[in-house]
Amino acid sequence: MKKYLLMALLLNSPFAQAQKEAFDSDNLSSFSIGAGYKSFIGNNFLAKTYNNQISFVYDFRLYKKWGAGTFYRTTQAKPFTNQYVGNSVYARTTELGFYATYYQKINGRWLFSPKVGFSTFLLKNQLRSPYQSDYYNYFTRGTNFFIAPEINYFITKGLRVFANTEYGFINMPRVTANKTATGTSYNVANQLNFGIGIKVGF
Amino acid sequence: MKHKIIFFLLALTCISCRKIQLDGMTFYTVQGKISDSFNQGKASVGLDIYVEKPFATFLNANSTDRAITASSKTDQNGNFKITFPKSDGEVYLLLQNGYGVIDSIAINSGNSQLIKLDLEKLNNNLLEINTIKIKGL
Repeated sequence: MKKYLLMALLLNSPFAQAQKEAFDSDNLSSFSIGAGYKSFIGNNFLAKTYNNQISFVYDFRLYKKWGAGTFYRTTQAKPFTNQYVGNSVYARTTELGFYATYYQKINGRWLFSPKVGFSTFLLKNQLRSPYQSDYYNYFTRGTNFFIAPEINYFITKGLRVFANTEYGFINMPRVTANKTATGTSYNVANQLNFGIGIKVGF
Repeated sequence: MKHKIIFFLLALTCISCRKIQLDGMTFYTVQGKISDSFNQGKASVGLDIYVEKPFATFLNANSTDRAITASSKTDQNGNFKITFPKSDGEVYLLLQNGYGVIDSIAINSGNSQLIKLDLEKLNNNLLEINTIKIKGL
């Protein structure tokens, strides 16, 4: 008798219900916030100037079997050398983009959701004047094409946690510098971002 | 009321035009050598890229905005290379550590620590300058 009672309790628990509903639902539209750890890689001025950074992302997506989303991500970094961008003391990157995604239920409460997308890439450097309490911003612009496999875990039907790995190809064709003298590229770069976050479905 | 708005807009314009504007889409590199009077390369001489932009305000017709956009040091042979963002001001190489120029390179009037960079001679964003002879001031 105790065994049946325990089984009945487990089957009606919120977690079991969430699992069942997650599988039944076709509507996985969501809003999410997350944090990540981003690094620039390769032989380029970004990788040679900025430390690994903490990133913050806000993401909105509309889902059926296929989906589309838009996101805004910002990171802050302190340059560890002034060899490539001058005496910047503070830097910030912002990305505003969109992506296409697909979801594949794995089992239980797990959902696999790879993304392919495109975003703007804006790097702001800030230089402070030693002569007066003033600062000077200068901006480097480009685009970013990325792929990002993502895994989701349903806590309840409307609440998920996620983790993803994103690899991005940054292209800055309008930036000019002497590649031979600087020994590095100012036109292409790569970035790797490991992200986690929480997603609210609607 | 109309005059107040025009005055406010003019004041805003002056605030934005007085500041040195930096361009993060264009980076220049200047390279050369620093030597003493015996043509021996001077190691560890501090160098700055100094930018100056004159502007006028209602109160002062001869104001100047100044910034150090990049800094570096010479290597053990006296060679240096500095990369800095493009700006809309006059660009100089500023000698640190109390050194001044002793040869005939064009310097800023009255200041032998400043060497004017002729950016018209940039070749593919690179400016190579002749050896600069310096002495302690």
